[in-house]
Amino acid sequence: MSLKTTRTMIIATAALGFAVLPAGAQSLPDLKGQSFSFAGFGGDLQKNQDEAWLKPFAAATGVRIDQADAPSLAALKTQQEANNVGIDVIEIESSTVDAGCGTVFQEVNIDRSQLDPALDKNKCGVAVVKFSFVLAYNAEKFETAPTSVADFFNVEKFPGVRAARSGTSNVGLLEAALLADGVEPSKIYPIDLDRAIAKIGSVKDSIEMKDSFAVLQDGLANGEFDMALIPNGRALNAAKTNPAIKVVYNGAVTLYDNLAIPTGAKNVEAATAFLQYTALHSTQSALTERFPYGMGTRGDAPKLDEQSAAFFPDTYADQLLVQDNAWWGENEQTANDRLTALFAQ
Amino acid sequence: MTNASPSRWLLPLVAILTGFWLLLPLAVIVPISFSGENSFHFPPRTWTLERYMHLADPTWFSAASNSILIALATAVLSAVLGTFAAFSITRSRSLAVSLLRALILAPQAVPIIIFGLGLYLVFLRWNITGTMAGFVIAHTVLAVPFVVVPVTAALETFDRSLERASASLGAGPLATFVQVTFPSIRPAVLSGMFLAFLASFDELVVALFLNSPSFGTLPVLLYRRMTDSIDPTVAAVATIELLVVVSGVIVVLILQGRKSPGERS
Amino acid sequence: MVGNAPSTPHALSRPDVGGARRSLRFLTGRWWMVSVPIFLFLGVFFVYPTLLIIVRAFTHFNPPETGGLDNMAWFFENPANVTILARTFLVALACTAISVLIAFPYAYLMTIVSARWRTVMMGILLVSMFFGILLRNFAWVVILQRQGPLNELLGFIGFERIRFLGTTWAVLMGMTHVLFPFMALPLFAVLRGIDRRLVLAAQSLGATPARAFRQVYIPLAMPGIFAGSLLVFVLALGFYITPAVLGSPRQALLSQLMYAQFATNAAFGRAGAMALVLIVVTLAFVLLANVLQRRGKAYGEKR
Repeated sequence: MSLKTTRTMIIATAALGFAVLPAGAQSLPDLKGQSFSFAGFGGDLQKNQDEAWLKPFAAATGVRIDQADAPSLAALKTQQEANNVGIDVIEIESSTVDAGCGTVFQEVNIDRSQLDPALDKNKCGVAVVKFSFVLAYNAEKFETAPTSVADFFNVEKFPGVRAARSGTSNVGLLEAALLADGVEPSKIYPIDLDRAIAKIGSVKDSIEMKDSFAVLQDGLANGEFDMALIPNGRALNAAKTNPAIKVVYNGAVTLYDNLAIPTGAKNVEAATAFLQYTALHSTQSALTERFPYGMGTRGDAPKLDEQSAAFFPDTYADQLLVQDNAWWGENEQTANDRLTALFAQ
Repeated sequence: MTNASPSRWLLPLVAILTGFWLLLPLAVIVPISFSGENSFHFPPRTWTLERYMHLADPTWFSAASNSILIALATAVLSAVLGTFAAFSITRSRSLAVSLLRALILAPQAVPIIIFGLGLYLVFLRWNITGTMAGFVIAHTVLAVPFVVVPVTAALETFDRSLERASASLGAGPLATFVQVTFPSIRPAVLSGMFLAFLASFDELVVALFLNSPSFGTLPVLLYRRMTDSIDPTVAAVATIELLVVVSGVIVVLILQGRKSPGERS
Repeated sequence: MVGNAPSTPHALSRPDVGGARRSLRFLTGRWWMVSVPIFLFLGVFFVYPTLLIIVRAFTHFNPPETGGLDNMAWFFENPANVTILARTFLVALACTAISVLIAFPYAYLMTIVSARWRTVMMGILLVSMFFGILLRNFAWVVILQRQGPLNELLGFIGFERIRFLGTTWAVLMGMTHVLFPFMALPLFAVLRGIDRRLVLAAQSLGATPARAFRQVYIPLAMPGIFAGSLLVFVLALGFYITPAVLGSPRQALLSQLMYAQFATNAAFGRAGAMALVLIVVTLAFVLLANVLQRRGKAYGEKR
């Protein structure tokens, strides 16, 4: 009996140690009795973040982490106006943090040596989760495969129902429209909004707009839509349900998120420690190996299986279109208004 | 009667189709709860019992217990405020009464988004978003009419000479209320509380504004799992709720049938 | 008898009927006082927050709006907004009309079947009503999707697959399902009170059954139809979740647009302007309905 118990304990200790050690347990502070809230983009990304980041961090430091969906910037500003910020760590597009560092988000003093300098553009956020708005399509529905995200607009050659996300995150649609209209990839930015809207308008009866990526993902997997502009991770999920789902990376707008602490957050100490933890390459590659979004750090290449590699942005680095953060930071509301107006009629 | 003959079969046919249409969505949910894939495809292609195991997860448990506690508190607060309001509506001749009637029903007519957003701004400043008290207050605003309407109806048919009799026999107002008036409006209060409970338990829009990372309700969690991750656990919750609702309605109808056998026609 | 105890000394100390009179005065004269809590409660937690949003239409501006009545102008000068407002009304009207058409036969049948069948029909109605709104919307998503059971059935009969999800038809289906009990229950309450011998009397005086039904029964049923319709229409105007789940931004209703203006732009002024428009129009409809109802009554009495 005692032998069995001892063995169980050894296994349990080893398992615990295994979960904690790769994350650099030595440098993590003791945060027992503290808590912070983490607001991510939800879906399978957040489920995997929970396994790769939150649970190990909580186990090593003793902190309690409450999870939520990321509020929009508007909702966050509303909380700040009321002096009642409920989010301590928020995941949000890097363009938003670039524009709001020092006002909406607070600067953090952490070691940034492992972050990729090309992505480390502000003093508030930690670059994470590089992803692409790919053209995902159902291979059973088309005789010839699409070759570029521009084919989203080619309704003659690829007839079928296409879907895209409306609202805050309609990045990718405008860029693809311009590509389809013959604009050189290098001349997409600054976006000619009139031209892009006109192009989208010319095929809008074939486009379904949806409020949530999850709905796009499930609709694609179930045959509700024949193609969709969605983040590559959502496309992978659809492919796990329905193997006929394939992706095109050519011309896919690629961007990355930041983890940041909003001004007025209540648990800055724990939140800062968490940001430091995510600025490590080992932390970020742990997520990528579970779910093929890119990293904001530099270091050894992550180990990916065949299907994940097929959906991983870095595999297609030469085909991607890198998002112009500055343009989106300045013009997001106008672009939203134009798209809403276009599709409301 | 020959003219009416099509209506003989048409009427039941329409009613049967309507009944079928009312129950159809409920029936569809049950198989999804046993789906083995992360999809809402119907019928499921693979089967599992795993979704029901997921319900043991503390996330679901705390959301459900928050919802039940909020709904219970809402039912009690609505009963108190609503019964007061009903007394004033039936017994006061003050002009304020017609204003009160309109005010109590107004939250139903104002689009819920407006109310939710307004309350969110106010509660943010008062620091009661994401608290039990905040939810109970918000839900009571929406649930009070469910108590006021039946209790007002009960008081209107209540014979007030009973109260005068009680008073002339020396009973004080409180004693008269407790022993004479309340017993006769009790069924109305209870059915109002029941509806208030349901209204709170099912409320989503205001809850979407008021929830916080550490405090949310079951509808909020269900909505997230439907729109944010495609999680058939939603259908497992729905199946359990369906069982509770069906057995609850059957019990209520049987009890009612026993109470009023004379109603048979 | 415990409850009697406190009143006993009171009655003893004033042996005349003064105590009783005082109780009586309390029971009749000061009843407005018990309305103070509910007035305070709804004033603070309903009127104040709602006004706060509406007032912002005139105090809160996002560029390009700058001041004055800009938010109202933004609403009415933007054709998309006016389209959405019109769509919101049409959907609410259609929802009301469909509800009447299917709830009337259902409620009518409930008044003429045996007690056992009435219980069954009421049970179906209640089960559907008490089962959560969100979960029913979810079920409609499952049913209406392109590979869903409804389309499988259509395919089986030999039709093309039709896209339902994301259309106004799907929204209408979901909303009518949610609002059906709000029509059927008031209707049933009125119909069960109608004395059907009046219809038989009309027939014995020579009216055909159809005519007797139309000219005697329907007018008596009007208050129920009216109450149900007003309730369904007003509730339908403010729907948010059902159109968000079953519809699409292309077929947006006003509540969705309002939420989007808050969530994507923090444009409280625009949201306030929309709130004001929707509330004013709703109020106008309620008042119009009241006037019509009074006219109808007066007309009926004159006859």
